[in-house]
Amino acid sequence: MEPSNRLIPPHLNAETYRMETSGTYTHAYLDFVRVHKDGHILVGCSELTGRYWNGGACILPNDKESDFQKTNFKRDINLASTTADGCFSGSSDKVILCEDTGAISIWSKSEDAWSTWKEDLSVAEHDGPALVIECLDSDRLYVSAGGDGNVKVWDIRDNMICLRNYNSAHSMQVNTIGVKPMSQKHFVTGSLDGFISLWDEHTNKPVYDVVENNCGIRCLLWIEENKLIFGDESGQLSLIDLRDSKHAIKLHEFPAPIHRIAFNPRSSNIAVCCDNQILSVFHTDDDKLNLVYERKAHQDCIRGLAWDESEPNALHTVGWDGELKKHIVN
Amino acid sequence: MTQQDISCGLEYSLTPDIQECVSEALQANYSFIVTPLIHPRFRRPYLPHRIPAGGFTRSDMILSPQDWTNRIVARVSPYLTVDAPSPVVQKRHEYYLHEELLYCRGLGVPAVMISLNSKHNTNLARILQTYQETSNFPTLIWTCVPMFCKRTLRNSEDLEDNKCDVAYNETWYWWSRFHQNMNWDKRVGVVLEISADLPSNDIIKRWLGEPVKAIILPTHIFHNNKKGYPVLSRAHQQLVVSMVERDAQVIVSGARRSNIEYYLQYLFRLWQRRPADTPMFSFARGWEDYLQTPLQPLADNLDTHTYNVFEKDPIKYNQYQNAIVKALADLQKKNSCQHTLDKESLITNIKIEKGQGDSESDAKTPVTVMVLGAGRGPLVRATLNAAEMTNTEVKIIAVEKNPGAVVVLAAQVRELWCDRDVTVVPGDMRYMNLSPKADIIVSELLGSWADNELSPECLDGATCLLKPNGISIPCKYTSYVNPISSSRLWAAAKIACLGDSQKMEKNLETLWVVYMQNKHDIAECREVFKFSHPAEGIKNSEGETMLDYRGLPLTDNRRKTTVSWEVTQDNVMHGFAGYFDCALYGDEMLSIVPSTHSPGMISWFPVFIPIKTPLRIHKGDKIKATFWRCVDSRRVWYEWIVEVNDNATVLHNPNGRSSEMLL
Repeated sequence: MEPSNRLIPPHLNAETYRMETSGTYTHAYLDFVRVHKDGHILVGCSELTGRYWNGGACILPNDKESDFQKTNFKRDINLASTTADGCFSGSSDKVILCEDTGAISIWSKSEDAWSTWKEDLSVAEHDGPALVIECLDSDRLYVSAGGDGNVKVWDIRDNMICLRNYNSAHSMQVNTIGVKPMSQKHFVTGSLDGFISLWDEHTNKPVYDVVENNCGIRCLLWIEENKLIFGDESGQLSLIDLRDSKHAIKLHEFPAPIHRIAFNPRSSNIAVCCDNQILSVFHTDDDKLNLVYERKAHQDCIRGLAWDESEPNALHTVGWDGELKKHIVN
Repeated sequence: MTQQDISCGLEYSLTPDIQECVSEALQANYSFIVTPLIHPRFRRPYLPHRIPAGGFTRSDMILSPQDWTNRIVARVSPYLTVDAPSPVVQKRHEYYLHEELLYCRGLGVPAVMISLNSKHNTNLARILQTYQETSNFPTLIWTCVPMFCKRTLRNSEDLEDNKCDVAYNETWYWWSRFHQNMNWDKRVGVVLEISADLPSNDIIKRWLGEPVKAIILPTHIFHNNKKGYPVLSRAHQQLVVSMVERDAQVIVSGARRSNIEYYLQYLFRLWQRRPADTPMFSFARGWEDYLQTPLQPLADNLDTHTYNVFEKDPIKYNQYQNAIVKALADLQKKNSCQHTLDKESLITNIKIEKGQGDSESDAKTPVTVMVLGAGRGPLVRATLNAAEMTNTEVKIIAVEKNPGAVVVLAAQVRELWCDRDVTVVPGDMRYMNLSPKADIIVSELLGSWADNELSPECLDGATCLLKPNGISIPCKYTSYVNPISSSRLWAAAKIACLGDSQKMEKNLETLWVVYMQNKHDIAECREVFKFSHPAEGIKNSEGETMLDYRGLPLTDNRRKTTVSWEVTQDNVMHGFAGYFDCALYGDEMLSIVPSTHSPGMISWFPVFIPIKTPLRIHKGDKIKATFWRCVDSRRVWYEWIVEVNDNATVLHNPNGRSSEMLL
């Protein structure tokens, strides 16, 4: 660049900033991580504070995890908007991504020499951000929810067909969906309106409201046939027995809102992250929690947690510091 | 004041590239966008007293200052629930909300949008009041409310159909209570999110009385017509037009189910296709919900421009003319009857000399018509026309106290009416003695609430000008009220004079003349005070009519009336709308009562009679209002009090301390 081009009249500072479009600096806030049973890892990232709020995803094999560096972070998939959640669909060559503009898109890896990822289709049906997607029946049924308070069940076999549209499922944004273990039709949704509602994919109305909490539900997990664990805005982690859902058992109180929880059925360990940098893992034993692992795992909020199915004690975490990390919890 | 055009905005649940979004919306002819300013998923650390490193959102230099102040409505983060039952959450969210509000203030956005998600909003109201108190320039708060409460609807679905309104009532309560907590602040408006199913008409009408700044039309309530363009159902169309007429803007929101330009084009077409304005509506454009103090034509002289406006009414003077025609015709009939009688008596008593009592000239004795308060002469003109039409000879005496108007009248007498019998008498009709006495007196002394410009006192004072059994046009008039809900009018009345808190008290004890648009009628109109002319004198204990020093019947224009209504819907009462009707002569009427309004007449806007503290009322309650018309030697004033069940307001305007009409 010629020196003369670098001289900007100081009084045109704002205009110069406005016109400047070449700046492609994006901070990668990593928002979610999912692990496929074949070892592939899906990482979703968003730019939440910069000029362009766009995002993307990166799919990497397990053994390449150490190569993942925020400095040379290369997205396999680029999205025009930020993304809050995504998941593998069947094989590790196909992913479904939620976008904060409300779209849900399906991507697959092409079989050419470059192995590039291509968008198969994209459906914009949510009236607010699509915040969460979970699998009911692998490769076929998925359920999504979002900022509009709506919950939708999708059949993705040929096209994306909305089988169920639970309009006005909640009066505020839905943050989390928990699918009943071994079930292909029952799931619960947790919302900022403080309610956890139970749904049956076969009926068009909620079965019932499981919980009315005193603040918004941020995350939940259906860990056993009758047991739910949920975390809320106040930082309270609670357990609900569906046979007696009036009485939530308070498990632990965290100093910040609980963002995500992940359960490892093989070890009965539960990993928790909040709107802070601390990763905690508890061993669950008869409705009690024992802290087995706690550390400041990231330099910014931890956002994503996923247990590795191939490596029983391995936990993957991502955070807004742009790091993907693997922890061995014994 | 209502805009001529529909103004539309486009909501983005996220603006990945805000420059791009603004230009996309502007190119599609939207006027503004609604967007979060901070990424809705970006949770800042809770660090009171510390500024987070790196900043919490994008640089504002990305848009020009004009864009920020004209094009952007900022939505606060959707997760903020400062009224959550959990105290920890309240405290944290209060901090975040405060941070966002300060950021919005720094950018100077014209409005901040906040959603109400439940009936608990007291903490929100407190925070916003503090925010408003500490702002140097007004930021509008747009409170977003869904049309129905999803959870209430879900829980009441098993109930009968007519219970469905419960869910639609619920959200109105959220807003109404919140607005009450904000002391009905006029900087706080409601943004109503229109649902696919609409509630009963009563509920829609109640919303029309609220200060709806904008309506949100989610794209899912549109359906596609045969050609594939998005359109609205008929009921929705009507709702949109009614809302826009009341100053609401329209925000298109939700997933892009069609090209965004199509929604806007449809809305523009819808607005253009709306039914043509009534003459009153066209006349009143620009004056909607604009409060004016009532004129006092007796105490003050009107200026020529005011006369000019009043004379433009195409209907009012026509009605007067018709009434005068009928009165003259009746007089003729009566005279000819009298004449026939006289003739009959002539035949029986053949003594009378022929030639002297010529019957023809008897009939030609002119009818004396006095126009009391002739102004610049429209009623003189109407009388001349009526005389022409009935072929009657009239002698017109125009009485006018305003020297300015007398100049105009005198000029017309000299230049236009020189061959007619028109006399101008300057002076106050109450203190005059003229002869001959009038067969007919014509006056237009009525205010928006009938007697509030002191027509009864003026006409009673002029009784001596009228022959016994003479005709007064108008002969009867009645004032009406109905209770209304209108936080906009109430707030406008309250702050009509800024700064002076004593004045503020007075403002709510005063009648206001206003073309009401943004109001809801809680119940129908009821009669308040009735007057007729010539008035009957009061009787003493002997049963004799009492006379004053001039020998005229002593009248009593004091009144007291209690009216009551049954409430059919939960609401908030902010005061009364006042109207009148009047019988001119025979069946010729003038009315501004909505149900009988004279078609096409544009004179007189109604009055707004506020109450000091708005009253929350419930279905089944009984509203009982008592109005007094008080008179002393130099002035007239109204007092009023309202009772709802066990609740009562204070007495308004005791002894005329805040408002009065001078005699």
